Amino acid sequence: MQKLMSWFGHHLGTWVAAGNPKEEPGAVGANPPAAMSAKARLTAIGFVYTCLVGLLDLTTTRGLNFDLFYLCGCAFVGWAAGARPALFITFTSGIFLYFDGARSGGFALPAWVVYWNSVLRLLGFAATGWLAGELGRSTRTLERAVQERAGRLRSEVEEHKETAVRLRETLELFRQVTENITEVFWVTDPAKTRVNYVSRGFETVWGQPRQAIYTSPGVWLAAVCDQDRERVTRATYAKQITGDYDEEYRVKRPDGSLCWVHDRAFPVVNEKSEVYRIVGITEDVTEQKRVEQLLEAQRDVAVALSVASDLNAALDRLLQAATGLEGIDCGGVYLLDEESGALGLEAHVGLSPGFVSQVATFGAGSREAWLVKEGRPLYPICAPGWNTEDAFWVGEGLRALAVLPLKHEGKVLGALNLGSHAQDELAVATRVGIETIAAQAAGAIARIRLERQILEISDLEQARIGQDIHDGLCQQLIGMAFTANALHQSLIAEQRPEAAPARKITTLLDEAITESRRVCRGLYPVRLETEGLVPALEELATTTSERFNVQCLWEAATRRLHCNVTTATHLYRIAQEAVNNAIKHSGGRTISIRLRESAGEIELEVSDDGRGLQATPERRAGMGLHIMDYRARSIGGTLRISGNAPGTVVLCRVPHREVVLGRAADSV
Amino acid sequence: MSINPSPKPHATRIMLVDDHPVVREGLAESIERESDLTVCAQAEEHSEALQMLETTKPDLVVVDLMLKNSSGLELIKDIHARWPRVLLLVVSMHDENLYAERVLRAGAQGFITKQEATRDILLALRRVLGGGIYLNERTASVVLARLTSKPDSRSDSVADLLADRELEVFELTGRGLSTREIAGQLRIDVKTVDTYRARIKEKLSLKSSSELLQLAIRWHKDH
Repeated sequence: MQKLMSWFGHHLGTWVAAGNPKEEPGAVGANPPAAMSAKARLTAIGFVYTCLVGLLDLTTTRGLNFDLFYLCGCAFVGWAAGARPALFITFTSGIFLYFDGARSGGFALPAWVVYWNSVLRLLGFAATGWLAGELGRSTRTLERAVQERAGRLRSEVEEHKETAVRLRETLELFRQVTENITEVFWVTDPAKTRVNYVSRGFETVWGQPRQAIYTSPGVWLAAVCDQDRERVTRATYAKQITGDYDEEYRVKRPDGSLCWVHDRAFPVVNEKSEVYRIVGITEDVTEQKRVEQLLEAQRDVAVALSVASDLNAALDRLLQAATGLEGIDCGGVYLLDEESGALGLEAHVGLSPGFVSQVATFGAGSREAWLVKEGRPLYPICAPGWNTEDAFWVGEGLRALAVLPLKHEGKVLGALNLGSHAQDELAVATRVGIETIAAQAAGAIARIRLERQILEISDLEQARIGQDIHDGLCQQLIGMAFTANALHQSLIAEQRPEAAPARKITTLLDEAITESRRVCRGLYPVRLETEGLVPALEELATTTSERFNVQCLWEAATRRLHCNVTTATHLYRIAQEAVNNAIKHSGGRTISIRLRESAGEIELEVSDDGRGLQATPERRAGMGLHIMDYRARSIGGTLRISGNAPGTVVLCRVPHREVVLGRAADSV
Repeated sequence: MSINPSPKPHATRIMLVDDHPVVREGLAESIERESDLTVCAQAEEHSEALQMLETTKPDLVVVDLMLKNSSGLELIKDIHARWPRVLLLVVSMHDENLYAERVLRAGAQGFITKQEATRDILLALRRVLGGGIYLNERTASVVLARLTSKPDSRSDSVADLLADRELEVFELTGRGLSTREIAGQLRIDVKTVDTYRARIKEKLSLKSSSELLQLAIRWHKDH
């Protein structure tokens, strides 16, 4: 009996539970056994309740109607457990109703009415139960749905909160970066009419408050230096959108100071690939620029000095390069005279004429000369009130000064003085740079001097030999000629046959005298010193014609040409060498020497009608050509030899420097 | 230096001033071979020459333009100043035409190069003794050409006549610098400056240093 009941109960339970497939599929899936057991429990409770009510109904008199209680039971089970359990409870209630009806027996009404009434009543219970079930299910579904929705909403809000926190953190990070870097980070619209953002660096670099550029976006461009503004404006409107913008320019701050910046921009595109924003970064590169400039200046100076043979040009270029550095606007080069020990100003730039004449020379015993000979770079303080009233730089308005001795292999050759009227101090990098330049200059000056000396020694030697011959040999020959002539005369008078050889002797002697005088003049052109270049070249032409079997023509555009002694000497020697070469190698019959002046240049041309250069390669490699070229370069000129025309043309062009008084660099 | 007691009592007395012994000997030989000419004295430099002139009183003096320590031109001027009647014949190793003109201006009566002298010394001597001026043909034509084409204003020709270095000294003089200052500026020594000054005076035919200074100042003002 027990077993039968349990089997029955189990299957009943399964049926009841399994009859809720359309209900809450999700909830069932979540915890089917629990839901099932809850429903089973409630159904069991309902069953027990109905049984109790039924028993009560059976045991009490027929007068009491327990319909409502059965109804309650059905409704409760229907609501709590669903339609099928409600049906089961209805069935159970029906059983008890039947037994109750059967027990009491004898109705006033016919049996079919009673049964019909009972069935209706049971249907009513079932319907109620079913309704309650549906209601319960809907309520529960609704509740679950609401809970779910609420849960989802909550998690969404949580997510949003998290995102907001992360966003804030990111923004904070961004702020920290852009507010603390020295670079200027900026964001504008493509048309450059609005500035979305500019970092704090703007205030350092442009020297203006950030508000300024937010209110008027053109402020940054207005601060760009005049020389660079056009270029920068063009680049801004043309290149920023394409992403090619990369410019360096100078910015002038309100306090007057200058700053070099390196500006770059990058376009930002949206999903439609349109540029809707420009972001950029501007860096202060003043220091790098300064270092770059210094290196460039040093390189320029090194290159210029290493090929310089003309001291004047070298000094000018040195000063040019030095005053191109930022902060330096004037300077001068002093050279120390080896014999007297005095300092003489050989080249200067950016100084007022009055000051120049004031500082043109310093005697050997002067304090300035002593300072220079010490051999160490000096940076005297030029500000007034520093006990320097009698210093040599007073009166020119210099605010900064550097005195750099030119020292080569331990010996002081002079000094390079550089100054500034605009700046109070020279930066450390600048100091290093100009000291390097001074060292380079010293080396170059020493080299040029040495080259000059070598050439001068050669000239001096020749002159000495010339004079020796002139004073010794020539006079000797003349003495001999007198005697020979006397001998000749007396032999003729005595009508001796020896008169003939005597005559020969006199003739030969005469020729010897002529020849030796010409040799002297070739070695030591007296005319060059006593009369000048033009007469000396004229004599060279006549002497050449007489001495060798050629026709040497002379042509001068001006009768008188005044140039300084060094230029005249070198030109003469060049002409001499060119003529000698023509005689030795060309085999021509005519040589012409031409001197012209045009556009501030002296032009010397020596041409012949001989074989030309190609035929005689040894002519090209000769030492004489190198020296001719060097002579030309040392007076700032050029030498060109061409063998195109029949014959050879040697053309030398030098700048016509008037007799520059006191410019002793030429005699260095 | 030496005085030869003359064996030809009525011969014309000639003095030689030259600092080269060999040349002097040759000259003396050529002259002595003439019966009517005799060399009465020989000197090597300025003061000696003047002394000899005092004592031996020659009729003609042959002067070398380039004496060792002095200027032959100065000597000519001095002799001409003190003994205007003494004839002067200038010999020189150089044949610069400008010298010829200058010596004539200074008071000499002839100019001959030493090389020519080996052949023509007697011709030159005779011409001068005869009262004429001796110049060789080429020199004569150059001098005459210069004479006829010379411009009037002195200031233009200064630049033409002076050599470069001389012009420098001239300009600096005109600026008012002293000799020492000029020497310092041009990096030459004081003696050289004086030499240039002397040459300038010759070339421009100036009689004294004050004339030179005046001209230099005027020139500096004009330029």
